[in-house]
Amino acid sequence: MTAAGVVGVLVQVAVVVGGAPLLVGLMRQVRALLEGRAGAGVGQPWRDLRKLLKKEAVRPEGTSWIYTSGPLVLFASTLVIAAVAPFVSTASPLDGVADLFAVVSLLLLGTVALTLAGLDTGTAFGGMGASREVTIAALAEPTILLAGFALSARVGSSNLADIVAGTLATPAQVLSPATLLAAVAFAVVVIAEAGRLPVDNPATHLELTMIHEAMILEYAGRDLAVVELASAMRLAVLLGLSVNLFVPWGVATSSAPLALLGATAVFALKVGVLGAVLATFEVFIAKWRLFRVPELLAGSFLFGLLAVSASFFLA
Amino acid sequence: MFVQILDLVCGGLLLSGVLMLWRRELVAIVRLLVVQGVLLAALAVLLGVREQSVELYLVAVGVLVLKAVVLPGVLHRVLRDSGDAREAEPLVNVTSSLLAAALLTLVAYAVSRPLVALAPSARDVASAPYLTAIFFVDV
Repeated sequence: MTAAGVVGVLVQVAVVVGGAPLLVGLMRQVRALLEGRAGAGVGQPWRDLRKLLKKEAVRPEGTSWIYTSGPLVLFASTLVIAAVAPFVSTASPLDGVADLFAVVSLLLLGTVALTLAGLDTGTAFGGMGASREVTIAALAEPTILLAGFALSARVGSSNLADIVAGTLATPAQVLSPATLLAAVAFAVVVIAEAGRLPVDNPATHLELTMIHEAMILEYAGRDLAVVELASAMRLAVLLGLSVNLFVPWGVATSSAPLALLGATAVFALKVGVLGAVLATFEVFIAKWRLFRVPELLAGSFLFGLLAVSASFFLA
Repeated sequence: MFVQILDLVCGGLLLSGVLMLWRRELVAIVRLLVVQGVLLAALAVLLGVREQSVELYLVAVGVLVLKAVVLPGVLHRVLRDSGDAREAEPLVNVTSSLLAAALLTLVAYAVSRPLVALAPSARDVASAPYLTAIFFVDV
C-alpha cells in the first residue's frame, strides 16, 4: 500500500461525500429551471445539512438500537463503496475489495438497515415504506448483478476495477449488443434503487405514494442529516458506477497527482451531466402506480438476462 | 468491424422488440416500429456493402419506405381516427409476456447454436441467434 494509493482513496471519498449533496442540489436546480422556477441554488442541500446537524436528534419513545444505528449503517456501507469502487482511479490499494458481489451486498446492507429502522418505529408509515422498499430491492438487486455479469463475462473477472480497465483497454467493446442491453437494464435499476421518478418521488411526503420518505419519517436533527447525506451519497455512487462501467474514459490508471486531479474533474463532470440528464428526463414523466413498478423492474431484469446470454453465446 | 456493426444492429432489433412488449402506449409502440424499420434497412445496407449487391440496396430502400414511413403513417391515422384506444390491452399481463420473451430468446439461442456450429469460419452467422430470437419475440 503506497502513500499515493492512499491519497487516491482519500480523494475519492472526499469527492463522493462533498459532491453528493451538490449533485442533489444540481438536479433540483435543473428541475426548477425547467419548470420556470428560480430554484434554491446548488448549495441548498449543504445548507440544509448544516442546519440539521446543529439540531438535537429527537427519537420516538420505545425505539431500540436498531432505529439509532440505521442511519449509521447506511452511511458507513455507502462510505465503503465510495472508498473501494473505481470512481477516480483503478490503481487503488483497496481494489481487491471492489468486487461486484461485495458492492451489491453493501448496497443491500444499507437498504436493509433503513427498512429495519422503519419497522422499528412501529408506525403505519414506517412499516408501509419498509414493505415497499423491500419489494423493490428484491426485484432490483438481481438485475444489478445480471448487468454486472454481462460486463464481467468478457473480462473474466467480477472485480470492478478489472472491468473498467478492460473496457479502457478495448474501447470498441462498448458498442457490443451485450453492453447495450446491460446499459438499459442498469439505468432502470439505478433509477429504482436511488428512489427517483417514476418509481418513487423524492420531493413529496404524500402518504400514499412515498417509499423512501415513509421509512425515514420519524428521523429528526442529526439523525436526519446523516440519512439525507447517505441517500445523496447513494445516488452519487449509483450514478458514478453507471458512468464508469459503461463510459470509463477519464479514469486514472495510475496514482500520479496530476492524473488524479484530471480524473477527479472528469468524474465530477460525467456524473454532473448524467444527473442533469436524469433531472431533465424526470420533468417529463409522472410517478407510476406502485403496482406497475414490478412490470418496470421485470423488464429491466429481462434486459439483464438478454445481456448475459448475449455475452455468453456470442463470446 | 463488420461483424461488430452487424451484432450491434441485431442487438438493437432485439432491444426494440422487447421494448415493444414492455410499453403499453400505442403511440410509443408505433414509434418503436419506426426504429425497427430503420434498423432492418440498416441490416440490408450492411449486407449490400459486404456483398456488393445493388438488389440488397433496393431491398433496404423498400424496407425503409414500407416499415419506417408507410406502415407507421397508416397506424398513426388509425390511432387518430379511433380516438379512444390509447393503450394496448395484451392477452396476458406485461410481466408474464416479458418472462415468456426471455424464455423464447434463450430457446432461440439454443436452437441456433447448431447452425453457428455448422460454419464456424463464417462469422456472419453470428447474427443468426438474433434473427431467430427476434422472430420468436415478435410472434
